Amino acid sequence: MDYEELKSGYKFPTVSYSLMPSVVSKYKEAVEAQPAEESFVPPLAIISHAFNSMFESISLPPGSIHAAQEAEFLKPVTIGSRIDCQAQVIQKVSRAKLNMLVIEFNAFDSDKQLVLSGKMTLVSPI
Amino acid sequence: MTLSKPEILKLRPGDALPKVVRQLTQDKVNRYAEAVGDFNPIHVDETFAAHAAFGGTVAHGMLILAYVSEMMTLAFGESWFSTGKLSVRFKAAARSTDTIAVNGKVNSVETGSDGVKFTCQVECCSQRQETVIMGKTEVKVTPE
Repeated sequence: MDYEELKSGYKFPTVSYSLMPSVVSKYKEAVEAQPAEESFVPPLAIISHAFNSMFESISLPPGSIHAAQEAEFLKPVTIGSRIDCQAQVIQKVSRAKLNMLVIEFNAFDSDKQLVLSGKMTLVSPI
Repeated sequence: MTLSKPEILKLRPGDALPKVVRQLTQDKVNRYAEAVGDFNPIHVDETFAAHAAFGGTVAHGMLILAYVSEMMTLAFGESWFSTGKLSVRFKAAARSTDTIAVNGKVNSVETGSDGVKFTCQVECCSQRQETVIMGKTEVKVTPE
């Protein structure tokens, strides 16, 4: 899908992924996480994997930057959990030479319980 | 070192959270790209990035934000995973060779029927004294 086709209200296809021990361990090593709360997945790992899956099918314009991030963590996610992430464009505005895209997302565990929600803002040159 | 529950509950407005300092390297940025599958050339392709806006590779914003989450985990433990909130702005790019210091300070402490809510101010700065991330976090801790 082309970035230009993204409109306010667009719902991304639900993204599903498993946070297997090897995936989480690779993430923790990359962010130099200290061994606190070892049985849980760092919540930002859930968001990072969701974003990467969401944007596999959409190429962002070169020069796009992550401008803001909001997140609320509602339930610890244990290592090995499967996550379903739903996301929707809630705002897309053009101002001067920039596009601003705001995406709202909700992540659910295999019991369909909401574990995390938030918003990300991306700014791209026009 | 993670704070104990009694230490957390003693935190008052103005108190500093455990400081986190991370030295970035291109190798660390590449490792993060592999861990999350984000291979945007601005992060991992030094030749491409040399001719782009920052004149070199920059770290993923979510990598720097992970350091904030690390600080909150060190301060509040499991409570961060189950009641944490964050709202931040990415103010500048972190170069792949920067040293990032994450500082946090308790802004307010409110005791309610369901626990003690801590609101904190967080900031990530480079060794160039440039603010990379600025924002606030919240976490609720139950006394028992």
